[in-house]
Amino acid sequence: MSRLLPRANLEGVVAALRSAGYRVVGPVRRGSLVTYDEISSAADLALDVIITRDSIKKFVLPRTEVVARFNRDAAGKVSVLDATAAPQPTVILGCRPCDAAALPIDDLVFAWDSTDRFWFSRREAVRLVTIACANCDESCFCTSVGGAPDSPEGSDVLLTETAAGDYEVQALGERGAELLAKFPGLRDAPAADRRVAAVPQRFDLSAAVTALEKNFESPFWRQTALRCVGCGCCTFVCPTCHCFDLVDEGPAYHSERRRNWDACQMKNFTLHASGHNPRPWQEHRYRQRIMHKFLYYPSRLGRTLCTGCGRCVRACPVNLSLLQVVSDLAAGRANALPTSAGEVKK
Amino acid sequence: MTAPRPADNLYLPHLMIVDAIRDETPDIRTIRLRFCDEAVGKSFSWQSGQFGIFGVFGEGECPFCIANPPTRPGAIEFTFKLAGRVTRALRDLDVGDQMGFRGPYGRPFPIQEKFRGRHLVFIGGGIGIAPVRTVYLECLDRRAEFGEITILNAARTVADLPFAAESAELAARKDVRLILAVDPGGQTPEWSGRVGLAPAILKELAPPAAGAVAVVCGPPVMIKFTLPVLSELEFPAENVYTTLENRMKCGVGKCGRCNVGREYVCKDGPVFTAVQLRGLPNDF
Amino acid sequence: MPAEGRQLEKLRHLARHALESGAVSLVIGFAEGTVPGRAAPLFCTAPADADRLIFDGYCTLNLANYLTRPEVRAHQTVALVARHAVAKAVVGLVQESQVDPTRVRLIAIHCPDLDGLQQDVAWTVADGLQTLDEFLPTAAHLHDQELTPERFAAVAQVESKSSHDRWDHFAREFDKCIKCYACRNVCPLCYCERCIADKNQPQWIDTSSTQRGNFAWNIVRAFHLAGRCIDCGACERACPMDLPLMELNRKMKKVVAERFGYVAGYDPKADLPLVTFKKDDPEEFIK
Repeated sequence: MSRLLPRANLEGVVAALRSAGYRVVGPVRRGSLVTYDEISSAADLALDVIITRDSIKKFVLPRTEVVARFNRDAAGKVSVLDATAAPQPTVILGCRPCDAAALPIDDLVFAWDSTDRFWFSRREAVRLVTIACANCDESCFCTSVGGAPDSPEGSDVLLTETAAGDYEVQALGERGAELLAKFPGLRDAPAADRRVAAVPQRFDLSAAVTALEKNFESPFWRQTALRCVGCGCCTFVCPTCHCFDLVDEGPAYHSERRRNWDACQMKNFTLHASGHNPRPWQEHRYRQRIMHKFLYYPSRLGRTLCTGCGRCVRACPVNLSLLQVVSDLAAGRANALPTSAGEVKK
Repeated sequence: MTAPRPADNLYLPHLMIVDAIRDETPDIRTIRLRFCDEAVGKSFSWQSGQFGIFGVFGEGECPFCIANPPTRPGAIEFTFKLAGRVTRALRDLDVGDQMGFRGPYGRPFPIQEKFRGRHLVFIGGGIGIAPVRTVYLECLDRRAEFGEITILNAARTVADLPFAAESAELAARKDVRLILAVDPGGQTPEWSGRVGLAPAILKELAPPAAGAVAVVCGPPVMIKFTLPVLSELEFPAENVYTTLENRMKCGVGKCGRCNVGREYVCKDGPVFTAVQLRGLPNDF
Repeated sequence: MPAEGRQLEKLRHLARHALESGAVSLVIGFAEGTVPGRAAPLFCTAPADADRLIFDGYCTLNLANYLTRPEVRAHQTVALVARHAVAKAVVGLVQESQVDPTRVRLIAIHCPDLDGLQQDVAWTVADGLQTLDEFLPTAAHLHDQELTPERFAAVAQVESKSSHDRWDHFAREFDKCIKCYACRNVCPLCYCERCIADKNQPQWIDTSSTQRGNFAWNIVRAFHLAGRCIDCGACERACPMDLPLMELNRKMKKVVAERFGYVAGYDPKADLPLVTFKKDDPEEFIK
């Protein structure tokens, strides 16, 4: 037997969660764009898309967030004010497993020796009701980085579509059980056929990691990254990319220190005020992104910094596919390159 | 997820007051700060080599090493060179003005564990002398615990040599060997120090490597050419220390900016041995 | 062989020959993308690389963007697989002294309409490797298509709104901006070594993705491209959040056409309307 949520009851779930005080967000279509946004009815949900354009990261690490305020009084005296994040309790309904899996991965860095209160206070306020993927596309690769289209990792409640179009419901942990208790119209039903996408394994992760260990210096990076234009598209749509900038903005008497998304792909990311740039060329910046995700982060914090959602692959304006690059590495294509390949005078 | 315990705001700076300003060169300045909250100041402790994130409200923050060693407590000093927006704003501060400080961050020099009982060679280039100076000030304050102390302070020109008054005092001491040097063309007619690049002068000085520890800091190109000289002089790489700088924002291993390969300058450094440097990819 | 296949053979032959003969050391074109409906820029340095070249209506990136990259500048002479919009961008870069026209060759692709972006677009390859001067007369007729009303349908729609509704419209659209700067980084005319968005002394534009920061960035970018934008639409297609950036750029294009009778991308010797001083300027905007 399993617990079943009839599809028609999704509307009741939205209403119940909203009346329990939650902001409910899910995939919403606006023209050509499907993003996670607030909904007031299940009818707002665009559940037919493979994946939203943006990730759920913005609910935990907003693209801009105040971390401190500085008020200067008439005499010029400054008071430093803590920016207290009081995040709204939020349920993400129709989250994807590759988004949900990103949060426990990023928890590691935000708890690394010191605790980032902003991340964890938002984290605490967010509940994930994930819908297992019934479909995938050629950019999906969760199964290549240890995930699965029906992985419960990171979720509080996992819904899996049945052949009849209803949802089999699974609560995960105390938070999940607590949340599921608010779902109206659940019933027991015999286990039914589940609709779960078959996401093929597209590369051998350990082979890719081995290739990265050997190929810090390789013409592969120049060949690969020559077309990269150095925008922040891939990192900003990524659910695991978490690098940030801290900037002071606002009027002189009420300035704010803000934490903003930042991208290792941009040339200013590492530029010293002296003019020295440790990563002067785009190939260095692209290498950093791949190395950080597949070598550095796992070796320091134990997890690959990628859930295989494929957003970076779809969003890249120059079709520089991370999936292709990591597949190439795993297939040993970087090892085989002659050192003169792709050589350009600096 | 195991919810970590509620934490303080990692990014909230201490409110500091500028107590003193000292110009070291036309573009290098030292600022002495005290904590607005005296209780915080009293309980604040750090070790030589650790850094802080210093900020001007409304302008931003920058990492600098804490310039005064813990043997000289009661204030927080930092030395900086005019380069960008924040250092411009720092230069606009007057005595009595307020600014922000977070820290201490990073790993210090292992003075207690690795320096005691040894001869010490300090080499600084340009603004790079600042973190080196913190260490030699501590070692001078604890003079009896160390062997011979040699300091090479090199800059582009005579005017660019920081800590001139202090250098005059050091030069007068019998228990320190101080060598001041400027790049060829950077000397004045009155200049009595050396003329040449730091690696070449170090080679001439040839301080004995046996039982010695070297501390080097300077622009990347200087470090690049100085390390081979130390190796030629047979300083074991594990006895050669440097302190790296990289662009940083958080200072606590979150913002993902300062890593060189697997190593985070803010957490694993900024102090590295030459052995560790050799293990780093060429990304700094 | 179908017509398209013959054109592709011709394209590859031109590229291969250009590299073999030493006329150029780099050909920038497109290869098959990693997913259907996408094409990937391809940098050919060996004649054999030319066999991987393709062309179709998905080859929408403006390759002229790469001409100002230092890795590409290191080559003495570079050939671009250039549909009309790419050639127009080269005109702009030459006009602004960013590219030496003697170091650029075009493998010109002609499409019946201005953009040539439809999936089943009919395209032909011009005979031989062309210099910009050789190419220009062959595309001059397209100038007439630049200012057709259909091209400004979205602009007209925004113009018809009240100022309040226009504000709401752009506030809603700019709110989606995540400040990834893909628009700038794919734009062949956004070549500034240091963009105003990256300058912080003073901080002209808030880097934060707030309403203020997003308005500042998107409007300043449109202004900086006024009279320079060659209407290729690369920015809008690159935008991961689907901002209607061409509404702004085309509005600027329209104003410049009305005020100065100028359309960018056709004459590398023309004066740029907004950076040219004339004594008889009516200076109506200075009151």
